[in-house]
Amino acid sequence: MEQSRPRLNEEQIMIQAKQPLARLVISIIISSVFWLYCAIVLWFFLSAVIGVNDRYSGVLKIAFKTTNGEIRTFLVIGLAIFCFFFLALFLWRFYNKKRFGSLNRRKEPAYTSIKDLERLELLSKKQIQELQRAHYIEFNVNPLKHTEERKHA
Amino acid sequence: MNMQHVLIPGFEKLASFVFWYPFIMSLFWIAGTLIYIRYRDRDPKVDFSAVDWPLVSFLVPCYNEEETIEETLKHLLALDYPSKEIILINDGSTDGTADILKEISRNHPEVRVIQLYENKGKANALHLGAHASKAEFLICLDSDAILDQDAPYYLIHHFLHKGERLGAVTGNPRIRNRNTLLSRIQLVEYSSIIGSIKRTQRILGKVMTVSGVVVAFRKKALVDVGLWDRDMITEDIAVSWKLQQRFWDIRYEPRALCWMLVPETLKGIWKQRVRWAQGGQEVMLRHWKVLLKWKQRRIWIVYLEQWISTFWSFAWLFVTLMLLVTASSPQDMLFWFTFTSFSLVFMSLIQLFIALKIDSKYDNVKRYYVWAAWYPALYWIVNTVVVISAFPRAIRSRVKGGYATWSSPDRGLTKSKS
Repeated sequence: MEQSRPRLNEEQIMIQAKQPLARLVISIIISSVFWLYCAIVLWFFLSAVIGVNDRYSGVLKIAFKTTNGEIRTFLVIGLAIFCFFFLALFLWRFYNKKRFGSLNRRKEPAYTSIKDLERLELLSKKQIQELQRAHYIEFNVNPLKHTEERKHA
Repeated sequence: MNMQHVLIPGFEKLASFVFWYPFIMSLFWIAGTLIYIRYRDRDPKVDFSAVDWPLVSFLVPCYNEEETIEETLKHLLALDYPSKEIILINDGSTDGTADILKEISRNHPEVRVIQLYENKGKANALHLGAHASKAEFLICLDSDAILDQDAPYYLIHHFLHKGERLGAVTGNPRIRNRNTLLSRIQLVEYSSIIGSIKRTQRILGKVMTVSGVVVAFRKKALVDVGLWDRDMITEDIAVSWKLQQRFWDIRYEPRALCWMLVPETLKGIWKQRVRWAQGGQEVMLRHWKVLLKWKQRRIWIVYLEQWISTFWSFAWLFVTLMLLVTASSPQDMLFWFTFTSFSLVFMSLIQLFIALKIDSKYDNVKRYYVWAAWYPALYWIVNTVVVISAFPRAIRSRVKGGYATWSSPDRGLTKSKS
């Protein structure tokens, strides 16, 4: 069982600051305009699905030179594409699970040694050991080999 | 026939591509998200007390972090993960960070500090941290991020449970500053668009990138790929590609929450997003040879999607400009009121709501639905323009080479924290 543990309190984590009122009001007004736009979009498609042609969505359909039937066909195409992707991804996941799920395709890697780090040729063994020992260490100049130097080394 | 079709052969096909590509991809991300929720989001609970947890090094690179580093450290020290070392790496900060780290080192014997007085970039700082670390597992954390108490357990557990091929586990960044319109829009974006892409890529088996803000690595895997690229502006994207090309897996762990700050000004967002886009494009330019290798075929889809998205941004700009130039009446310029725009907004709303609903499991984001309308109506344009703007920079950077250094974008209202 997962233990019940003290979690970070949202109050402690969240940055609390008041926005200037004017800015808040403006953002609410613009958001409302955008929501109105989104509502028009949603009603445009919904009205086509349920076969309604009211004066608002009707004007848009005339302006877009389309009909409820055409919009429904378009939505069916969208649904078919969605089903194709859903099935493809489902089969892809199924294939991977069946084919590789039970396999251990690599041995558990050994822990990284100083020798492994040394092979990167960025720092000498002495430098690596010094870094690993240090509680506090200062470098005026970057001790790692320069990225270009390394490329041409 | 329209003027554009007369002037530019193939314009209609390009315009069709501009419409169909985001429409189809939106369906793809929705399908991937739903599969993820059905099969992947039911990971068994972990009994933390039944595991012998290995030593973990927390690496925190710092560049001009005097405002945030002490708080980050306070939370790191409060983590009850049983076996940990904390390594703070100063990357040539020009503010008071160096003095703060010196002070921390004096007061906290459990914290190790590396002071580098040259600014050589985050990847270089992480290199130093990886060399200094005594642990096999590293958790790299941004210096303005706060890790949830359970996050290290969830991240490390992946390596211990059928994780022999695992190179990295990326966590779930959550936004702390939610006071301004821009941060709220980003919250919706992270929870929905970015979240659904990550989940789908997890189903595909290859990801575009780990989240640099919080990611756990197996040191052996990092060493195997030569650590992070110090000449790439986004070291997290670059290392993700290197790991996956060497067949190290990357997993996404949504339960590993990490609280971070996002920019709250347009300039800040612009700077951050251009860097991200540039970083992605730099990586695409560097790793084009994956397309020539059959063994790398599993990553092709992620690679091609990146390029097609970049091409789409340019195509969108071109088609939009052409339609504006050749418009015969002001009504023709109302792009928001066309069937194609309606269809894309409709798809975007469906994607937003499905993803937000799923994401609210980890963090109560439902109340931010109210700001969701900004994304389909306007905000997506920012991301598109960012991609266009980043492209010449990516090419310039590839030609020029050298260390990639950058500074954190604005962190909004950190000073007014309660």
